[in-house]
Amino acid sequence: MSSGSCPSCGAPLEIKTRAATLLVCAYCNSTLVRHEQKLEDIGKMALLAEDGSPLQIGARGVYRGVKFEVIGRLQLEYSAGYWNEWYATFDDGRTGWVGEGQGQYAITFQAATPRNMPQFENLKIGDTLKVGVEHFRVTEKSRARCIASQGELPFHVNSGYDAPVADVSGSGARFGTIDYSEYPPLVFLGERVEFDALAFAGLREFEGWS
Amino acid sequence: VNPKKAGPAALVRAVKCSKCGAPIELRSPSSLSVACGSCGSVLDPRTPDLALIAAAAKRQEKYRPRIPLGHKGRLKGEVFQCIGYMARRTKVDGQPYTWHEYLLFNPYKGYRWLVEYQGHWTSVKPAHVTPEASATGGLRFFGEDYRHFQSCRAEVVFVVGEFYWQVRVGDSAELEDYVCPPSILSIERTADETSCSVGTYVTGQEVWQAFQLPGEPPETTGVAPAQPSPIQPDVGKSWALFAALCLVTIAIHSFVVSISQNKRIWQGRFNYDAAEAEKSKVTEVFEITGRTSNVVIKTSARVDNHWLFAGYALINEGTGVAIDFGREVSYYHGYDGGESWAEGSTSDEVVIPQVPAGRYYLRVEPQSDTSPVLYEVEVWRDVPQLFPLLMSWFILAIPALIASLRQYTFEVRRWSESDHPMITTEE
Repeated sequence: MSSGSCPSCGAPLEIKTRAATLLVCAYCNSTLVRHEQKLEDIGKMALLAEDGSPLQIGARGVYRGVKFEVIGRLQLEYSAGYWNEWYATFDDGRTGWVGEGQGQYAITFQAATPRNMPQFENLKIGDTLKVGVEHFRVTEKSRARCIASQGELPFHVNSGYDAPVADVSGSGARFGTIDYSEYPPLVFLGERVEFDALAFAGLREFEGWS
Repeated sequence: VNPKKAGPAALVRAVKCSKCGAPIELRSPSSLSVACGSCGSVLDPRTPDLALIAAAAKRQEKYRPRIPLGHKGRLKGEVFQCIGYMARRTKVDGQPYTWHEYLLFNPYKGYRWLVEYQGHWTSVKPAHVTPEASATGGLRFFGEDYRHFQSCRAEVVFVVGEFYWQVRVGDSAELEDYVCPPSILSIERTADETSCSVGTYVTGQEVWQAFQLPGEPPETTGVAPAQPSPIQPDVGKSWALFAALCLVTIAIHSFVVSISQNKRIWQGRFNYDAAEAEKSKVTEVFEITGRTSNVVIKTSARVDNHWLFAGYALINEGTGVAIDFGREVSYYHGYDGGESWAEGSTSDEVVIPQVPAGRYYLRVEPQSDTSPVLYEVEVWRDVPQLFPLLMSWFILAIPALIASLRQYTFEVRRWSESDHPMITTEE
């Protein structure tokens, strides 16, 4: 962990992972890009939509016995509603993503992109993709839009960019997301998890739901 | 988002219907549509002016949610709020079947459904694990086999409240139900997506208690697809009890065998001759000992396409009390139309129960349709019998057989509404 201060408003900043290259100041909403020891202010991040997500930066949970903490957020909007990819650091040293929307949760980690991945346009629902030794089926294709981000992120994002994504399902609870905002696409694999299994703490509180 | 802001966030948003002006409470920020409870217009809550998604369908007064929108309930330990209600209908052979679906919301756990059909309720949640095809043509989910129950096309006929997709009256979807009571897997297909959910049977009483609803839940009709059989536990228990009692009867039988004499006490041969003036024979006196028990008389005769009838009297020498009985030995065989046949036997056995100890002799009065006939008589004392054991098994099996029959009848009723009835009736 390292600390610094926001070049825009001077508020103290704590940077939790070395992997973070992008930071959104929690006080003034400035988007800060990290270059070695310096933080560059590249302008205000767009405002997040109130999507009723129960997660927030600082929320903690446990996945398969390993504790994690949420340190960043990408908020996406699909035709089917909002979806968040929460960037999390795990106690075993990994960083991963807690996907969340409409009370459904998925934990994913970036995997090596297989060679010769089809272009987004050529991908069809029902297609089978082989990633490593595993087979996945394409279950959903959507042109999501990144509304805004928050906290620390491992890559540089602008608000309001288009993110074509495909969801894939493997056997059992195996699940994955293929992010086509660049090519070759980024592949994230993991599994669907029920809320109760993640033993969350530090969630948002809602009126009438305490 | 201001990180310094403390206290619970408000989820509920009070708005006014853009069509009729009636107040609407939006309870879930993930809702993609809301149907006004007053005029029935379906609106888009993500647009600032609640843009119209679908104009109000024809008013259908007969559909009213039994769980009022906004009501919170604790079902199986989890609190959920009822935020939407829709009635869906399918048609089988032109006959409409309508059921009721309540959308439940919890900001942490997402969505659940309560589905009611003919007073039967199912609590449904999205399946986060993909079921696999089972070897039996159904689905396999968490180690259980689900059997296909029915497939149908469902159409939305009434809608009110919030939904996490853009709902419209007239929306249709293909449904496939697979059951493993008390659970049910439902695959729902629309043009855009396929979703899978898993439900558990709940009683109306549980729903009423969970949501603190006034009055009584609606009466149930028939057997629901996922309804657990109330008889099923009895079936296992009654067969287990039967097995246990059988062991007891076997133990009793073994004990009886161990204390039985099972002893031949007299044996002799006689000849029946039609020409003889005195055909009846008398044995010498023999001693019958031990506890009061049975005496077995075995008669065998060398008859071949003939019969021999023996009129017996077992006479107690001391008291003169006689036990009279008649036995027939007949054996017929032949060759007719290319087939050989045989009927009867050359020997016979009779059990005389409850014979007290004493000195006895046997008188035999034979008759036959042939002459001469050589026949042999044996007297056995205290021979263990298998019949009481078998009879006790039969009687002991009755409760278990009845339970199994009732279970079968229950399953027949369950599957009668499915695509695979167990008994098909000609129409």
